[in-house]
Amino acid sequence: MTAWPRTAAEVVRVAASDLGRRPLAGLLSVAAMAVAIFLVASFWSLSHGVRGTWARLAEQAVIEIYLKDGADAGAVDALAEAIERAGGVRRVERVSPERALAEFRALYPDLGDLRDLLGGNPFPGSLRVQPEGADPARVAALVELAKANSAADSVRYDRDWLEALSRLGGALSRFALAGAAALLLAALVTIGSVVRLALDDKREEVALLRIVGAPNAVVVGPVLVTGAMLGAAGALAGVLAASLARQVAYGTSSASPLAGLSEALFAVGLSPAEGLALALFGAVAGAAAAAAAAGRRGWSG
Amino acid sequence: MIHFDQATLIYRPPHAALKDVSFSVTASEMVVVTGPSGAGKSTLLSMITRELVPTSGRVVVAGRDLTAIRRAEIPLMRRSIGVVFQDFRLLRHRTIEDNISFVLRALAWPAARRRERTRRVLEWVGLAHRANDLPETLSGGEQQRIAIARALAPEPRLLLADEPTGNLDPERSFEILALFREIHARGTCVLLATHDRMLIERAKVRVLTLQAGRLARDEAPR
Repeated sequence: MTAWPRTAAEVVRVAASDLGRRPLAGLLSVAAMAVAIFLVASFWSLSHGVRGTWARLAEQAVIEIYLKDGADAGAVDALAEAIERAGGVRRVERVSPERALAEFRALYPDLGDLRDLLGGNPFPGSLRVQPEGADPARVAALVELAKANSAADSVRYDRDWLEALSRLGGALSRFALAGAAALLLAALVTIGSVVRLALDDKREEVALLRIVGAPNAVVVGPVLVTGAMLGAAGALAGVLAASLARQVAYGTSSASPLAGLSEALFAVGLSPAEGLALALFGAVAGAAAAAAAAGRRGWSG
Repeated sequence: MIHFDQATLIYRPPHAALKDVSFSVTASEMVVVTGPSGAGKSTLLSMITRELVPTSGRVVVAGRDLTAIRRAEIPLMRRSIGVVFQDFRLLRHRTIEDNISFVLRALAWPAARRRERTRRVLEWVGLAHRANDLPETLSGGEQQRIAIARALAPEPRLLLADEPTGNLDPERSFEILALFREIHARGTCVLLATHDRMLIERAKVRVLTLQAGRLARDEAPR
């Protein structure tokens, strides 16, 4: 073996030995990092699910323009043409009162014959407009155009509640990510503390290594490797826990009344490359925390 | 091997820890540095290991100008120097053998060569039979012999000893002096800082005397 591999082996051996001296403190660091990364990974996965679900629902959302009773057919045609001309419209469909009733019956067969119950068809005719894309400004312009038309009685747009849901989801995500960031900071402080304790333990040893001319890699390397090992182990544990939690949520959802929603929200997990990237991030963050701790102890190399 | 050229170190002006110190030591010499406490003996040794840098003047060790050396070269320079301390500085939780071999491991010596060198230096200081004991089980004189063995293990060209007999009785001190003379006889330059008059008398080597940070006398061997 040449000198470099021997030095690297020595660095790893000393780092492992340092960790072995204070196993509980090391475990605490790993746990703190694992919780932080678990939150990051879970919310990453959940936010993908929310975005996917929102996009699918938004795709299906329509503007329903209910027509006034006895609206002139020419006025309705003019309204339909005006909407098509406005652009950003995938389809404009005319829905007669009879078709609206048929759709209602198909959706709610238990409610029986509504026409008999109310003595007539309660549904008005409508224009069903499916917007193209999800540009809120363009959709709002279409809604305003319809409202201003004399043939329109009222306008309903499904995406209002979807957008409110999206805003709520966004706020929750930001809150969760802020929590994860705080936990990550706590994890890094814990790693720094473990490293500082290890340095205090081996102050004499380090002084001796410096005086005999040990390479900086041997003196400072174990500190960085200790931090990296703690960070990577914590991040890996967090990624595995998040993956397990997602599978449990996804797997048990078929028994739940909200099965569809649960499956949609937890459909996307971290890929192996993304999991590895998070573990790498944990290692780098851990090493950085260790370097900062070593710097505060006055020996950055 | 060592060259001081008007080396001055001022911690807090105007008080100088060393003032205009100039001398040279060849690779084949054994030299004692003496003087009262606070005269600058330890400061002078710390300049040779480049733990301290003169505020003016030059210090050259083994051909390297320590006032101009790059930071990355310092470890390499220190590998040519062995250091022995008054308080031994053995690692309490490591065995005698490990106290020596861990230094060689840090310097990336191959395992077989490391084991052989550790065995050899322990035999040389007469403590091979205590290889697996902890330092606290040894007497002061034995601990200092281990510290010397550790300093010699990486085969340095220069050995520095800062009050190596300060914690020992006269008999043990003379044993340690005999070891240093033997190390010198085997071709290592030795620089010994001590204020022990008896030891200096017995050493019969060149003596540099420091007083208040200045080199007061440079006496040839008697």
